[in-house]
Amino acid sequence: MRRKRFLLAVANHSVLIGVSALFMFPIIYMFFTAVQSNDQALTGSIWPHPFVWSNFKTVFDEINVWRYLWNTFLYAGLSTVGVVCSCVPVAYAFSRIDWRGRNIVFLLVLSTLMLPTQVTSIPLYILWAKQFHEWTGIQFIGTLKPLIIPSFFGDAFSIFLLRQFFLTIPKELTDAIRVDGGGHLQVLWRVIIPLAKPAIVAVALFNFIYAWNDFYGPLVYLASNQDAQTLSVALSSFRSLHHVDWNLTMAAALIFMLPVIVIFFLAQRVFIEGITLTGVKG
Amino acid sequence: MRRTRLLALSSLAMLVVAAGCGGGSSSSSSSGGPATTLDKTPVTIVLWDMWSGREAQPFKDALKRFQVKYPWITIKEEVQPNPPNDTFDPNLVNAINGGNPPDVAMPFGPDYVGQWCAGGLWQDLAPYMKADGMTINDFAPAAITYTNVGGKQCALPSLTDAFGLYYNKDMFAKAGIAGPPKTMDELMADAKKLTVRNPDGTIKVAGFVPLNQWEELGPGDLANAWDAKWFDSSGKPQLATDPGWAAAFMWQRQLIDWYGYDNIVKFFAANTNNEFNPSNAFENGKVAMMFDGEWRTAFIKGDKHPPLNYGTAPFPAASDHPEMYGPARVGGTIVGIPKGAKHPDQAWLLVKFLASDTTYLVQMANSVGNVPTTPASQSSPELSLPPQFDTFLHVWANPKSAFAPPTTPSGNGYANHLDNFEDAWQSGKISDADLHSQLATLDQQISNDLAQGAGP
Amino acid sequence: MLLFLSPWIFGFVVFTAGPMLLSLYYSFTHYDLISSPRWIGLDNYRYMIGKLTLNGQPNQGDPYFGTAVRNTIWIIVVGLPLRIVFAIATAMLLTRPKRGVNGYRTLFFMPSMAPTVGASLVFVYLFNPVTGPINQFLGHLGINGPLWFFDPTWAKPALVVLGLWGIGDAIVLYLAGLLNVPRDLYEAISVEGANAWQRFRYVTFPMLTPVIFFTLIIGIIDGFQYFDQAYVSATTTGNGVGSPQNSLLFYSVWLYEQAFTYFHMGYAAAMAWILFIATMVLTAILLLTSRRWVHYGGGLS
Repeated sequence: MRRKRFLLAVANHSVLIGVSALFMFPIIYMFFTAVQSNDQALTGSIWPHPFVWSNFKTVFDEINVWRYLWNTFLYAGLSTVGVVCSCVPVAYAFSRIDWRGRNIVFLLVLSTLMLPTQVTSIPLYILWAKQFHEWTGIQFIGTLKPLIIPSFFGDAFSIFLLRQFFLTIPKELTDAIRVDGGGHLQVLWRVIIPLAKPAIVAVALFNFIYAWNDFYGPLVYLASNQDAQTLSVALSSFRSLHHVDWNLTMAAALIFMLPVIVIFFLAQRVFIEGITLTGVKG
Repeated sequence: MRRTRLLALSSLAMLVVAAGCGGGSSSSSSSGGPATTLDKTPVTIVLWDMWSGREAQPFKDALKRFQVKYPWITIKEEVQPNPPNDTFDPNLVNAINGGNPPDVAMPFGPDYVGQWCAGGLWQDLAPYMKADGMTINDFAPAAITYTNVGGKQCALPSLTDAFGLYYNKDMFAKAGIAGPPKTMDELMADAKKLTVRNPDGTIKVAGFVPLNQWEELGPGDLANAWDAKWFDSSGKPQLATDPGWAAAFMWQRQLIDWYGYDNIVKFFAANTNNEFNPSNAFENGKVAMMFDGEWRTAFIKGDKHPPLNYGTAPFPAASDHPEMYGPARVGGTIVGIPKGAKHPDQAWLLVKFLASDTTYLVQMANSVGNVPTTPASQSSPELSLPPQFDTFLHVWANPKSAFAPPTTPSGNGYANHLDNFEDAWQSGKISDADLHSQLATLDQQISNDLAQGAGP
Repeated sequence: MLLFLSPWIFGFVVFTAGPMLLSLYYSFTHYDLISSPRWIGLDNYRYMIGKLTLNGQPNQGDPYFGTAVRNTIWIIVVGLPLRIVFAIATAMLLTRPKRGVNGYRTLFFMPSMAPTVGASLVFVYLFNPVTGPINQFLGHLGINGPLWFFDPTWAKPALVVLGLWGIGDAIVLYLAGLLNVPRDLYEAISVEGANAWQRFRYVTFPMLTPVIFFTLIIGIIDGFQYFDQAYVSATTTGNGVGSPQNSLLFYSVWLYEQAFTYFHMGYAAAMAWILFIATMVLTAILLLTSRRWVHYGGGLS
């Protein structure tokens, strides 16, 4: 019996290792390209001849990585806070409160995801550049504000995700508080949020990553102020008129991915702990 | 109120400039003349460009020189990102419409010059040029083809690209060919002679790769040898009626068939990623001849590759169009002043500098390897470019050279249709018999495109 | 209830509704981003389906609209189910081992973090029919690999593989869903002697349906707007946007071209609204039929 369990474990791990290798293969390729000389980058020979470890340092020399990293952290961090704070109550309203027209309004929420940004980006830009500036006197273009501020007012993707999870929480758990005369706020705070912690962590993680990787947003709003630019845009700094530094681009891309991978590695503990707790409860 | 002030400033500038200042212009030297009475209040102007990587420092050095020359002007350079899809121009449109454009814009290519000039998104430079005694023809006859649309001169060239034939002299000597081909027939014959195949039939060394988008070979570059024109005098597309197009496509078909489509596509795929790195097919003796731009000479000099004995020459012309031996496609970086720029007069000084300052042009030509666009810079003793570069200076100066595809007020997106056509033609999806009718369809598509652009 | 919804309502009115309505207005105009929009009624929509008459001449209309629609439907119909199946399978794999799970999870998740431009470029090189490792590996197996991004039949499949590589985020969601399944349900059903497939069919799958519903809808919405990977791989390998032979001309790519290369903003807006309506209809259908197959509520069935 123990032998069988051991063999099963080996089988599981082999499959996992195999699948991991498939997933990691392109990343390893990126890594090898990152330590090649520019002469060799993307020529078809994978093994670096020589190993140019200094490429990583060169990236820091050529672009202001620390500043861009900071800008990216600011954007990702603030917008994540905004999304979590605003989407939890909204998702609650769509899942735990019964009201007429709930599905229709939910469809409206989803609809905001459906219109391609190519056609809304220009009117939105003009809104920030002209109308909002006139009404408030604040200079929005050239800052991260147009990207961060809307996240404090809900995000359809996160609302959808939270709604799905909130719907799976049994009614019996919330009925107890309602029977005692508790309001929705109490239900939200004492029952839903603790139970939906994994979902909330997932939402926070996804939003952080989305903002971290966001290319077009910062591209458009920070065109006139490259100092405030984020790292995702700065990755294309290695292309000039007749000249592309693929090795540096890959090195920069790896540097760019690193913080989020670390955050994910740490966050998954919270994530998983939360889930297994609810799993056992049943 | 603002308008009259602007008018007053520009008349003042014109008066002052007419009095003979304006250093570094192509027409006169900068010494002498009365003291400059330019508006010298300290001002900061914003410049958008894309010079990055190893091309960034030479450019920044040049900007420093400008600031030494005009110490009251501070340049705030916003280096725009340069991803595979052009975001510089759409962002610029956004900024203009949003009311906060840069004072000077310097895109790497003139693809949007139709919108800039005819659409009025960039300012008309004619008054400034007139005041400084500069005309577009000071640069070269070809300059106007990508800086002026709809009669509006809204941009100036700043260094440029020119294209021609590169050929491997050693391979030619070994095959017993005396000199580079001058006609398309010779090009085909030489290509066949210089091709070396592997035992299994795949291509080891290609004489000439006739596929669209091989390196810099664009749609229309082959047809240029037959002086094929995109539009007739009334602006209608004429790819079906101008015999040069069909001749070019049939020429291409012959050579593709001789290679075998599969073979040549595999060769293309194996080497297409190496255009800008030292594994470049031509630099490594995998291709005997190719159509490429002048910067290749700098690459050949700088890259590590086996010894390469190469020459350059104008791209061959059709035997019945000997006048097309010499001219070729040209075009490149342009500079201009967007509409709504806060300091257009000072912006003009920078535009003029980037377009015509001899030292700037020479230094950038040396470091980046582009064609210096003014006669003064071309004859400068400081210019240190390989002897093979001369071909491209002549191409730029040739009166029949022009930017392609021709710019229209709605840009040159219509050329995508030809790219798609080439795709289908090369792979054999369109047969020889269907060529003419498909070209007629192509014309129709381009017409529709332009009609839609102009709108109902 | 209204209080809870208020952040979203404010955001919608201020940031979203305005641009949405404005783009609807644009779709009825001729707008080139230079001069003011000019009202032309339904002409943009007529152009889309080739039923336009301009200046008395019948206009053939948009030659690539049909192609764009077909390509987009293909990538969704083929790519999305594969993604869901693969993500569930991989997530289930991750519930098995006791040790090292954190590590494996991170490795699986890493690819979805790669910046899309860099990732697309890497895949273009991996799939290079001559120098890329994929075909070289196939060659060792004696298979003559296809031309991938240089062949219109194989370009989209290559993109599907790229999409599968990046399913780390879906895996995380399914993992959350799987771990959320109450264990006593499994105990109850194994008492009745159920095998692995029955466990999956009667417990796991129903409990996963909320997540599946989510990834289905998001997958469709994202699929309709699929842009980065297609644009980068097409422009890197060949004859411009959409190549080879328009096989990579997706709806969003063509929309982008219309908007920012041609400056046909009015027509792009029309295309956007047709896309919007199609997505909306599809989503509404899925939402309304969801009650039939999506199983909410943590209680026992």
